[in-house]
Parts: sequence; structure tokens; C-alpha cells
Amino acid sequence: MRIKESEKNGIVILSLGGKMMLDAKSASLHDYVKDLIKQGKTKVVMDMGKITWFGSTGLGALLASYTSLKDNNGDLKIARATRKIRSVFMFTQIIKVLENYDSVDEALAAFNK
Amino acid sequence: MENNNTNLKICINGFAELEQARESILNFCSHYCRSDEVIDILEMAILEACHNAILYSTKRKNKSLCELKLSFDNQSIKAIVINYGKAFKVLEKESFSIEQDFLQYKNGGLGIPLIKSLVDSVEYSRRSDGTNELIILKKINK
Repeated sequence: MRIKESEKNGIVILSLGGKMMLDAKSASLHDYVKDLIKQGKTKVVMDMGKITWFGSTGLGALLASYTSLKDNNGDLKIARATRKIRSVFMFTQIIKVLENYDSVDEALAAFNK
Repeated sequence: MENNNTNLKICINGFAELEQARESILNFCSHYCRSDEVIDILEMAILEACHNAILYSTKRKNKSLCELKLSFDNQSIKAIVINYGKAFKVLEKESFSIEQDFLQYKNGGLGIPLIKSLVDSVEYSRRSDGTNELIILKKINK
């Protein structure tokens, strides 16, 4: 899995790509988020538009990242989740707590609501 | 790979072969189901099971790490995932739960809860020869 970081108005945008399932690198997404928290960056948007493979490893990485950010008064918003990922969110009811937006800009704007 | 009208058998010998297996799973499911959402769900559940089967499989001479059998019967697609390795406790795990798995999430162990959330039934049996058999069933509406 690839992680590309950018920042806009104090909110970190992590653009994720590739397989969020098979390798240990998916778990490192949580480590990446924990490093951001250490830097005082607790508002994160994850752009999942280029994720090609999603399973329990990816799900676990998302959940761990979300709880770490929430524990530090931050938040995580998801942008551009693919149809498959949205299905997982729906069937697991994660959609009730983890918001998905159609675009990164919409996810960024949601922090100001 | 063995294939007839309603049955497909795939031997998977590592993570690198999962991509090819995915195509076969998609082709099989698409043949019996027209709902993209159901096909997506089946693909994810079956691949999750195969991924875990490979991850926890013990290598044996002349045997594949994971064997996948797909069949269609009575408006349902059934996937049987077989591996040789340590037994696991499927029945003790519930479907994915916001309270248990999300808000109290620690590390790992989400595979079976995720699969149970996605499909209609999950059964498990341990054979006397040391193989595990996970049976996944999803009803489909053409």
C-alpha cells in the first residue's frame, strides 16, 4: 500500500493506493497516523480512491487510526471510498461512525461543520 | 483449475496467486449473479478467507497452501476454503460489531467477523487429517 501525505488548512490528507490487505504495510498505516498525532496533527482525511484491495487488515488499520485520533481529540474522515469499501462499511455498520465523502474537498469541509 | 457449469476448483499457492484467483472468483460469481454489490461482497468474503487460509497454512509437499471450491446450488453460491494448519475458532466469533470490534479494537482478529458480516452463513469443520474447511454461503437473487 502506498501512502502520500499532503496538508490543507491544518488538516492532513493521506492519499492511499494499492492493496490494503495483503502485506504488513497496511498495519503501518496506524503507525503513520500515530506519528502524525505525535506531531500534533489530529485531523486526518484518508483518500481511498486508489485502493485496489481491501480486507480485514485494512479495516483494522482504519479502526485503529480512528480510535487513536478520537482519543487525542481529533477525527478521521474518509473520502472517495470505492464501491467495495462502501459495501464493507455498510455491512459492518461502520458507516454509522466513519463518514465517507465523495471528494477530498467535501471531507475537508466537513471538519468545519 | 477445474471448471464445469456449476463447480470451480482453484489451488492457490501463495499471496501472489490471489490476484489470479480473484479473476476466477469474479467470473464465476458474475455468471450466476447480476448484482454488482453481491458480487463485490462475495469476492471480498472469499478472498479474505483465502488470504487467511494462506497466512495460517502449513506448507506440505505437493499440496497447495489453499484450495478453493466454488459451487452454485439452490440460488446460493457456496465457497469452501481448505487449508492445512492450526485449527481456529469460527463459531466463537460473532459478526462484526461496532461496540466489540470498532470501539474496543485492539489488533487483528477481524477476518472471521468481517466474513460473517458479509455473507449469510459461515461454517467450519476440522478434519482428522489436520485440514480446516471453511464453508461460506451467500444467497443471491439473479
